[in-house]
Amino acid sequence: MKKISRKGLLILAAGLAAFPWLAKVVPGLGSYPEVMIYAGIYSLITMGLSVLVGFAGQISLGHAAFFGIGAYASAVGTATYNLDPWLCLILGALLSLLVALAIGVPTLKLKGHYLAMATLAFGIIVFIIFNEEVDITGGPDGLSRIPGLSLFGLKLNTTMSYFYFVWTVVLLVFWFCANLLESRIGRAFRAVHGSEVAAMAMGINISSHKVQAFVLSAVLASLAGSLYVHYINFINPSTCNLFFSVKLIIMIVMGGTHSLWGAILGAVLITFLSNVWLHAFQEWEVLIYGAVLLIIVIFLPDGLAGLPEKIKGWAGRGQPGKAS
Amino acid sequence: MLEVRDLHVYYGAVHALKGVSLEVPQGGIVTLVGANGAGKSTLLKAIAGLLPARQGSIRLEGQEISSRGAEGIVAKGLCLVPEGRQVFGTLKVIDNLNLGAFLLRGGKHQAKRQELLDYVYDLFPILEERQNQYAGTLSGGQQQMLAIGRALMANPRILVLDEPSMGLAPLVVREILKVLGALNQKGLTILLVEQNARAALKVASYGYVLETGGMAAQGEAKALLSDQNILKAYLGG
Repeated sequence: MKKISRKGLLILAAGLAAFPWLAKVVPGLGSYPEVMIYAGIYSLITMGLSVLVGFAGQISLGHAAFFGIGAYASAVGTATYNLDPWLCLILGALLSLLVALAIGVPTLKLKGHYLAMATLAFGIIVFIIFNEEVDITGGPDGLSRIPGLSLFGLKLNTTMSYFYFVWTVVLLVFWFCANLLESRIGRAFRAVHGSEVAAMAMGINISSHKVQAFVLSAVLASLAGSLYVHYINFINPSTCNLFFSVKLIIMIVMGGTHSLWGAILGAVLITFLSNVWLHAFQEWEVLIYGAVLLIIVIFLPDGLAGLPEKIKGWAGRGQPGKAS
Repeated sequence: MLEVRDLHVYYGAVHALKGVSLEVPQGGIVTLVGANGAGKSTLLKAIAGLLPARQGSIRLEGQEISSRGAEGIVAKGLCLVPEGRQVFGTLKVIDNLNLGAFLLRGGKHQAKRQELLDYVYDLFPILEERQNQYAGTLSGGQQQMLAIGRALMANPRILVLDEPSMGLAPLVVREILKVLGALNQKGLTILLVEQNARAALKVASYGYVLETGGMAAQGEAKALLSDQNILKAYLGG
């Protein structure tokens, strides 16, 4: 792995380790570690989406469905059938993998708006299933009394322990994705994004690589769903509605689709905006997302992760002597 | 080495190639010229497996390749340099080259990959100089060199190029064609598609003229170049 990435990862880990203590000391930040748990869970999805959208160049407006599949697999498995939570997490991930394969193989032949529409429809179908299969999912009322997780006999039932657990998973997934993107497969993803014709001419099987990226992002979303229900101990369909899929896309666009850092940054910012900072706006919140997205797309097409480069560019323009 | 017989290709209902035959001998350098829309790129795409052939055969060293798919064809030793260069602009030069060797995977090909990379850098020293630069920031000529270098990384025995002169300055075109000549001298078989027919016929030994989906003429490159009728009708005087 690249040295820079490792250094950044260490700084991030150190910052995260100190975060809960900081939040305790600084007044007004008491609720922040809890919000960060959600941000971490969403980061798992956005990192997968970053690989799919930013690197492999495909779009999905249906990832709330995979989050839902993971969440419901864990919820039904543990609350209804009393199975081991870790087993349910793996079963959910496997189910998502299979569904992603079944959906990905035909839909990833589509491009642009058509792919967006197909994945959108998939998300809506899954949402309807969660609502209608009352016997299994509990319908619109959802499922409650979902047990928490424990690791090596240690119960992860406090905000503090879950915070450290979730963000450890985030760092591991980050490390995995960063390595993947630097590998032969990662280069192939970017080649498919860059030019499908050239990628094919290099002997890269483009449909198989698109499906691989799609499956990876689906499994990560499913994992996030499982971690989510074991923390909040409750799930209903509205958690994984269409707006959630859109929100995930807003996260990666805001952070910058070409960067795993951007994926985390976007997830954290949007989570704080919607849970803490924009709470006062209530239903007007959506309007503000729209405005933020508009501003980002127009002025920062590379997202917040591209901001340092932009600032360098602006600074360069300010000094005519230095302009190339 | 490469033998195309009675090839028919369709875009949906459009009959783009109507029974085209062509042959590239081992160690030869053959050019295919013709006007816009004649079907040159279509033929190359069909040969490289990017488009399906409805009818006819494409043989590489006697083996049918028309149903192998793009991957299988690259693995058999035929590599396409696509039209308009199509370098991966957001990737570094070195990553573009590594992608060329996509099918030479794993540790056992490590030495081969390095050998090919040295070979490409030897051929185009500018690529080594700029190996950590993003491909999108290269000039047009350098991008074309990268596209050729990337194809060579697949260790092909026959290189197929779709309009390498497109959008390049005449001086750069001459340089690129010179490199192709040199590669051919070293034993690489080449099929070159060009709109710049004169330049292409000068470097090639044999030429085909394609017109609206069928072969209009073929012959020794020198003969085609000196045939006034052909020059007037197909090659713009």
